[in-house]
Amino acid sequence: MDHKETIQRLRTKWIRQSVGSFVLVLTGITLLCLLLINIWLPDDMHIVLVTVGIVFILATGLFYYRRQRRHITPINTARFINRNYEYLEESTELLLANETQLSLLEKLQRRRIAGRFQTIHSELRTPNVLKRSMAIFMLCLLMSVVLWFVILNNKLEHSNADASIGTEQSTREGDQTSWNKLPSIKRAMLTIRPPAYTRIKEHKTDDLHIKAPIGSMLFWEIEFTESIKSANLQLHNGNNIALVQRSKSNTYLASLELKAQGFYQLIFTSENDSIKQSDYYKMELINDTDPEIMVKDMPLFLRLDHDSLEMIKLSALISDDYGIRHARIIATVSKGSGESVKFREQKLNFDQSFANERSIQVTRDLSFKALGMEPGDELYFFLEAFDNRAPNPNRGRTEMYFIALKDTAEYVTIADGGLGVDLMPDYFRSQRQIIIDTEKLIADKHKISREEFKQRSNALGYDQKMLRLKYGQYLGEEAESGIAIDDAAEAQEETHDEAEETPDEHHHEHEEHSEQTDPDQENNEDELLAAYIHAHDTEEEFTYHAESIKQKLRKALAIMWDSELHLRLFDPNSALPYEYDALDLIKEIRMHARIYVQRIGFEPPPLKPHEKRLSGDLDEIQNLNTLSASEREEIFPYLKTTLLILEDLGNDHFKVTSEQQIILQKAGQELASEALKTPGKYLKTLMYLKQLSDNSIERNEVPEALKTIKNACLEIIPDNQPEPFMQHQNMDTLLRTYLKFLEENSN
Amino acid sequence: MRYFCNILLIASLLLLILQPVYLQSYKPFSAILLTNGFNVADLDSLQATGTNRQIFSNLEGLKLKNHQAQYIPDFFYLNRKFPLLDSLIILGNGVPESSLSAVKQDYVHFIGSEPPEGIVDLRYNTEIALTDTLQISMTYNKPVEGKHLLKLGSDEGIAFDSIIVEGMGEQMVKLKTLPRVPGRLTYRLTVENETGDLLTSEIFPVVVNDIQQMQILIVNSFPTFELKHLKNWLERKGNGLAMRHQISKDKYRYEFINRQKASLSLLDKELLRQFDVLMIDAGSLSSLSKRERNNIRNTISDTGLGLLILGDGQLENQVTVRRVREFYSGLQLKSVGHDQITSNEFGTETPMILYNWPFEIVGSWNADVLINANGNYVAKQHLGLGMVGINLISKSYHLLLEGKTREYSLLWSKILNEVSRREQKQNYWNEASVLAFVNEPLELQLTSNESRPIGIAENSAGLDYKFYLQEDVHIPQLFHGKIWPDSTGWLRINTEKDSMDHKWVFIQSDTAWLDLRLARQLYHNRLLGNRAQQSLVRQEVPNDKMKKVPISNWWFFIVFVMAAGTLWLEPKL
Repeated sequence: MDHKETIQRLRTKWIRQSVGSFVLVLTGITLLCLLLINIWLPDDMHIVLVTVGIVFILATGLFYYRRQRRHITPINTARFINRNYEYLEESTELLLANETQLSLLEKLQRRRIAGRFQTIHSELRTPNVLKRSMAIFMLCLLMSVVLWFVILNNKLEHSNADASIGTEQSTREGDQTSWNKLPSIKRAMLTIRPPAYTRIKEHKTDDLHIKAPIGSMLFWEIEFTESIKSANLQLHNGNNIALVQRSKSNTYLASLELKAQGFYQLIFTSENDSIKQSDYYKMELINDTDPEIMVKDMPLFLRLDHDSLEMIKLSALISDDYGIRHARIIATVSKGSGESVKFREQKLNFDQSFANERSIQVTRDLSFKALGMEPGDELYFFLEAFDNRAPNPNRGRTEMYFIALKDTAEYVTIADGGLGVDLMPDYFRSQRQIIIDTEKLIADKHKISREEFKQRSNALGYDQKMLRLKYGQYLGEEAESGIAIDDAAEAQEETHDEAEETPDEHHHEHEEHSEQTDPDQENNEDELLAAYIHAHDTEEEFTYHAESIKQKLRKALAIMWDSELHLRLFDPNSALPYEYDALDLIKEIRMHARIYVQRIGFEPPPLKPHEKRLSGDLDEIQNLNTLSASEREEIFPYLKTTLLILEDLGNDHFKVTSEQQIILQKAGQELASEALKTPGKYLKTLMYLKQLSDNSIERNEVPEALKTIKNACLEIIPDNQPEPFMQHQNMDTLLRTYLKFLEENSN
Repeated sequence: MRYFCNILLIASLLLLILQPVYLQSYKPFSAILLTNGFNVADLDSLQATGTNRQIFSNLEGLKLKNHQAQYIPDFFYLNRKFPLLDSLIILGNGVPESSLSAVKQDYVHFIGSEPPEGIVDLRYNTEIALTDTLQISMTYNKPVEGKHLLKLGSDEGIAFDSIIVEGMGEQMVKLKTLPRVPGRLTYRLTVENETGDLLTSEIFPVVVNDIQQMQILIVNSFPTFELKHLKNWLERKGNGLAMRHQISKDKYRYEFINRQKASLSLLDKELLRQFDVLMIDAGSLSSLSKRERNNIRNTISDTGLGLLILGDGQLENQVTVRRVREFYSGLQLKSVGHDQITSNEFGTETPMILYNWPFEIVGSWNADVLINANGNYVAKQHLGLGMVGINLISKSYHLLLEGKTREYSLLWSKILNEVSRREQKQNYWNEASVLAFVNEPLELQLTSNESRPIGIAENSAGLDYKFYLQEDVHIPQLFHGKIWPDSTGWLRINTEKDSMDHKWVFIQSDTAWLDLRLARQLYHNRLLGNRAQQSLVRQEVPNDKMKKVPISNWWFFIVFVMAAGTLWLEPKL
């Protein structure tokens, strides 16, 4: 047998075994490393990773093989044999050499060990590292399998949590080795308990967006897949509500009373201090509105005769969103006028009772007598209702309603602008009332008894007399007068017309009185007396009005006397024409007293500002100096800066610096204040803004995030108003020269 | 002998330096240059006219059926290799603009291809102020039927303005938007057809400058509601104000807002230099001393201060008018019987109602009307480097009270902006075209007070390089330069000594705005073609031309050597 061949075979085997063991160990370690690298890479990189691994193993194996071929030479193999087999006497290399080239001694030695070699050639073994390599490989394989299952589990949990509740992000920087072991939310339940008075039942929902009446109690129940360190609800106003763990379980509870609308977010910290945040959820408020009251068939202002109605029926519909607890009428009666007016307020309840109904029809009769009202009094009232909100009920009320009872002695107000002063006394206005009463008496003639008819007619006659006497006082007549006075008044008027030239002058005309010769004997007494007494109350000296007014007034008195006559004779039908005539005359008197003059404007003297101005003594007046500073009004400054930051960001580069983070956070606050006004509108924008500022945004979400934030900024930031500002100009020597030339030549 | 050799020596040396030439007649030839987009039918018909023309092409690897085209990389190569080429017919899209200066031929005809579909012309201000409206005017060529939607928006697809282009042919289109923030912004212009397919999507950049507030000095005879509201409005906008009202004889009220106190009792040059606008009513201006009036006039003329004269009742006085004419030369006022005017100056929904003093400014050649209200009530004119304006509107504050804040802002912004001082920059950069592209020349113009400014260009990666500028032949302080940007993105340009007055230019990729660039190239090639002195119908090339041929320097050198050699050898013999 060729010993050389044997040694060669041994060498080949040795090379194979060493390369094999190397490749086994390398494969195991590579597998482990690739699995670890796979944690940070996305799933679509698997194939790349595997390819890289295979190529790496093959290349390294090939390299190692070549190295071993160079290293494990036949001589080295022979030396290896020498080391392991002593009785070959360190001469195995001789078997490799060409016999013809050996010396005699070497040939002898060669023959000597050839036989020995023959005996041991079947026992020759290479260094056995394969077993050890296999063990290492198996160990690496086992570790890889364990690691593989852990990763797989983590990914499954990840996808389950994403399906049930928003997006979870790890915001802790530097803590990247344990992201795949973070806990997630298994179940979330929200219980909404509206206030008791709303009578809305408590209900549970797994939708964390809230829309509930104000004052509702909210209870969250969040169950996590693993134990966590802490969990909080972060509200829009920065307040944090800590979730409380339920007795050593992974369930956490929190409660809150809904008082304001806004939005909130769930933030929890895992055992390894990684922080996760959920999406934003809105909190929308349903306000409890005031009760509404609708009064039926009641005008705001009602003027009634004193005996036309004794009561009015008030009817109203009261409604509320949750229930009405109580309603009433607040009535105020006013008596008198001027400085002696008195008010008395009363609270009146409705006939119906309220049992927290949402809508109820109420009625109430308002009796004037019960309210203590008399002719001339006024009633002001309004309705108010309270709903069943606790603790502070809402109140609704109506407009103020006015009911006025006409006075019997009331006269028509005259707006007599010409005179400026209303010379007519108040009692001039009752002639119309007498007419009304007379007409009423005529109308009631058949309804009432004879006695009553006569009584009322006599009373009207008396009223007419009193009116006549009061008018007569203007003409200087005494309080009590009769027919005689009236005649005397007419006679005196005739003589007065002839004698008097200036009717407005007040002078004694005793001579005229004395010169008058009245054939009527009744007047002689007055004439005799007139000579000795000062008759200041006679019509000649009466000079308040022009003569025609006096005539008319006298005529009116005479007609009133006729009217009184017929009324006292229980003949109101005959008295009525006289009453109308008297009224017409009185109206004429009023109209007659009006003076129509052209309005003359007040013409002030002309001003001379140039002469007068700046001519005063100003020694004590100091110059005034004021210094102030105000900041230029800037609207949404951080949102504007955010727009600029977004210009620089893109799909490839979306990491922000620390300065930009601060700006984005402040922009988030500005955006939050706008989001409060319209709950639910900018929640997604807020989420993206927060992710961008924390540098926790996923690459595939960047385009959508940039678009959403930019859209929101452009919606919120108003257009810039035009304003004056410093302009820039490129002024070179040529232009300067030209402008100077223009200036010189224009002069 | 020596004398003769000396003469020969000196003469040959001189001739070596002077390089004399002699005229030689030659027969020039004409050629056809094929460029991208050429029509083979045009080539065939040209060659069929009988004139023998050589065919060149700048299209590498071009193979023609019936013709042979020689490739030339550019015009410089053509001029070098074929200096006798005199007549050239260019077919296709023409040569790039940067090569046009190399065209030396006397007879050039350009038979260009059709203008491309899309935006063929674009005009807008690349640099605007924050309160300005970005207005883009463009010419859109649509050779096919159908509707195209042009949209101006952002990279993220947010649309600011849009317009539908119908019909065929070239149409003028305008789009506009209001920028919300200052800074370097890029907008995107997209074109879609009726089916929603995206035809074009281009970026165009705008630099929006933040605004800088003014310093305003107000002097008036007595406080008025008009000035009070104006003062409050200016204060809200952050402007610096100094006011002097006369409240009585020698008694004044001084107000300083958003600035430090100053002595306003005397209007001297030092004080006036601190302000950008002086607002003064006619009466107060008339009552100023001659010295103060001169100070104002000189400051306006020398430093560019703006003067706004507010009308008042004193304009009835001829002395006042004369004093106002010292500033607003040639002022002629015409009495009017109304005190209310309406203006459509700003295109508001309803005409703006204003109240005026009973005067109207009679127009003159050197005055600009600022507010048109069926008459001239606000006008301005130059006075040296500054502006003088006259405002005959007596009351405008009612617009504020009526809630028409925008109209009020438009009115007073225009008046003050037109009249106020213009800030002079140390260095003022300008670029030749609105768009710049990578690896294409960008021509720049600089107006600078520096004696020898050196330009610095810094790209978005932070790498900068120097470039040198050439002073204008006619105008001092005006320099020209050209750079070839090698990367896309924003490029900052400033001088070496001054980095404050810089210019931002956005460099686009070489695949951007292809339609526009092609249209421009066609346009410039057509301009070049208009230089042709004869038409194609007649023979375009004369029979014989004379050219200058330099005499070879070797002759002179040989003579020089022989003369020198003789002079050297002669003493030895």
